Amino acid sequence: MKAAAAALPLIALLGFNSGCGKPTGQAKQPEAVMDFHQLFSENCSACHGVSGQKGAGPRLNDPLYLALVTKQDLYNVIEKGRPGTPMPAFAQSSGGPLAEKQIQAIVDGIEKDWAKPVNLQGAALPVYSIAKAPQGDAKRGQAQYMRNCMMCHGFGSFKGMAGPITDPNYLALASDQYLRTTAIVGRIDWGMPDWRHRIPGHVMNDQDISDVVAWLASQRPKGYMMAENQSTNNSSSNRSGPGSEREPKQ
Amino acid sequence: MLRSVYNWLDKRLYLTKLFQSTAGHHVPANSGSWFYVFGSATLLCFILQIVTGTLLALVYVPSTNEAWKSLQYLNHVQYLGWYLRALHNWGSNFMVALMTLHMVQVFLFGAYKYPRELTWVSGVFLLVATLAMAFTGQVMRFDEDAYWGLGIGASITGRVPFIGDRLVHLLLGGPIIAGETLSRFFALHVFVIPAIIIGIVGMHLRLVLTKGINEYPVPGKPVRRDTYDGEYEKIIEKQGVPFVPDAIGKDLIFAALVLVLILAFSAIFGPAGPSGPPDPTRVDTVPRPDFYFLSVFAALALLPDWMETIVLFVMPVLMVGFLFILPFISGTGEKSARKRPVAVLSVITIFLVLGTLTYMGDTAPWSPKMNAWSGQSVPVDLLQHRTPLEMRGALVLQNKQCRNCHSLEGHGGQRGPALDDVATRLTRDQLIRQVIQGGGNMPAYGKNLSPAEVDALVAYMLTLHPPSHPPARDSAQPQISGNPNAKERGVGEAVRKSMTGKSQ
Ligand code: HEC
Ligand code: HEC
Repeated sequence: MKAAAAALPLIALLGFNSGCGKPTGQAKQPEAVMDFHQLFSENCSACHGVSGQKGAGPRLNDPLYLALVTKQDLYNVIEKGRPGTPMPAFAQSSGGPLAEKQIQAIVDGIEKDWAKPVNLQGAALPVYSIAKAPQGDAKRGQAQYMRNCMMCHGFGSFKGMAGPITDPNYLALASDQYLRTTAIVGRIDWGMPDWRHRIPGHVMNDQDISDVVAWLASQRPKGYMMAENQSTNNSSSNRSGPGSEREPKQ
Repeated sequence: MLRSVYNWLDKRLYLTKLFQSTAGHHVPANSGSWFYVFGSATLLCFILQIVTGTLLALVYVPSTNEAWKSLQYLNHVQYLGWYLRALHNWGSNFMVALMTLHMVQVFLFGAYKYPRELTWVSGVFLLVATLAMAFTGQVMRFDEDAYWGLGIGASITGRVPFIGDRLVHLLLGGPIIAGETLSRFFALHVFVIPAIIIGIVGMHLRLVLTKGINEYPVPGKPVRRDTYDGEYEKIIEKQGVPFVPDAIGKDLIFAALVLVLILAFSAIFGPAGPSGPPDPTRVDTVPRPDFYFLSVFAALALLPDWMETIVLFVMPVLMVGFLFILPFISGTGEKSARKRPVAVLSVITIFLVLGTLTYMGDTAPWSPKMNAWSGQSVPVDLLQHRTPLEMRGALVLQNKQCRNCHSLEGHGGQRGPALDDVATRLTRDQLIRQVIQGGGNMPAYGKNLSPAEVDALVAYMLTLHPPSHPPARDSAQPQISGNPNAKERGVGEAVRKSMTGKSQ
């Protein structure tokens, strides 16, 4: 009797610890969260800015951008990430932290809160997906760059006020799709104009944009990019999760 | 015939005398109580640990590449290997728990008072040594938990004033957690600390024998230095019984119970880990230390930064120091817990605090801030006027989860220094080196960053300085700036080092 009494607290003491006995190695996932604002601020705001703008990563709180992409485009990027860039895969199937329905909640939230009708001022909206865009020509692209981009991004020893985008290490970390997206919608939050407003009276067309991207891609160090150059959708996810090892193909 | 053989042996080995003075020595009859069984049970656990530990050492390979694998081998291939690991693991849990109970009992029964001060002091040494065993043992798993336990341990050590860096170096066998670290902890865990424990246990037991086992305390009978020895002698004379065979019964029953429990717990709950392989860049996992250290880690996670140093250094020193001097400041007086409300209250308080902290450590995610990388945005004014490359660097900084340990404008983890003005402290080369080689408690990123990522990251960090305060100049580091190829050499050398030193 006394023995049992002495042993009981001991068992209780160790019993609560029993979870430690089993190898888990799995982070506990708070899958219950479905609120868009919480999901966005916990998972995305670090790179995309507190309310989807003025972050270091692409601006998502941008009606123009949201007019350009489909929900499926958004879903695909969030699910698989952009291998080779700092955009991690978020789907659990790709080793990320979020369940499918959470990703869907983010996509729906982005569209619901941030998409607004945009006035295209008569210009045609270019194609978003690099896969569906016209084939680019690097030679012509250089000329387009000199005309549309050089004032701000510089060329050669001229750095430009916004800093070079021809830096090989920058290009090694940015996907062609991102270059195309930004070439179209600009970064209004940081002062970069969209495709209609770079030179007075001149609107870049689909082909111009493809050409510039092709030229920029040709400045990228050899061997650096990237399966999804051709398409955002076929990103064969070779990543095991955010922050996991990712070796550039040398 | 047998008798004469025994006599012959006895004349040379003094067996009878040995027996009489050890197992057969007389103890107060009322100390054959159920409260007095924890000490012997702790010793039993220790012996069990030596046996299972020796068996484990037959398979375990203390190298960064093999340690984790050899545990996998034990878990999955070796017949009953997992059970052996489980026994060692649960034996250690039980040992810590029983030792704690033993200590609480000794404290509450006033057994540390005159003339048993040294018994208590040697016990405190055993407490420290046993916790050291538990800590070094968890490093042996060399999984992600071990890695982080070590990392945090090193960061605690690194804060020791003046000699912190050197202590870390001594502890880890270098600036980062690598092969040398494991070898060092292996030596500590298998040779050094056990030898110390065996030695002190010997002394502890000898003191128990020479100074006698504490009589069951009677309220209202305080210890006095001048009369106690006589009183104790009288107790032994009047109601002393030989430890063997009279008083040992309950110890044996309890020992059997403990043994059965260890066997059962091992079978039911299995061994601990190993969890994921140690990969410094996988900060998104939730590694946690074994339960006896959870409270320390919880305290670390919950405390505001400025209190950490106090709690980490002043408190343990005060606490262990207090334990050491306890028998000298309250060496006499009442023994019975009934007449010592302060003693009882402090035990309850300590356990409540430890229990709460352990619970918090078990349930709350503790530092580093595990989701700062995706949840703490880079402050807008730290992005203003940055080039596209520097912007990408800020993104790499987030993506590689540096924010989990480093804050910007006060947001983010606090494990490492804030990076707001890092450019005023470190030059380009030093930044590259820090990122690739790590150092202190910072993991070495080495080959987990591509050259472009390193370049972007460093480009961004170089912009982190207040406008009034220019960035650090290379000229402060003549040995680096003298070499035009310093950057390439630095990276190459660092990558090589981190590849040979670190586990794959
Ligand atoms: C660690 C930083 C980081 C985090 C966290 C992050 N992103 Fe990104 N994201 C990026 C970067 C960098 C890019 C651009 C990648 C490229 O070069 O293609 C990007 C691109 C995108 C794009 C595509 C933009 C385009 O080119 O069309 C979308 C959509 C997106 N992110 C959504 C999200 C959402 C939603 C979350 C939260 C669930 C999130 N991101 C979290 C860094 C991040
Ligand atoms: C596990 C937590 C942790 C992570 C993750 C981490 N660091 Fe550190 N970092 C530290 C610690 C701790 C120190 C202080 C090291 C020392 O004592 O020398 C440090 C120091 C530094 C320093 C030197 C700061 C100074 O003022 O001396 C730089 C720069 C740095 N880290 C950059 C990074 C970058 C970049 C990353 C991501 C690639 C990163 N850290 C990831 C913990 C971390």
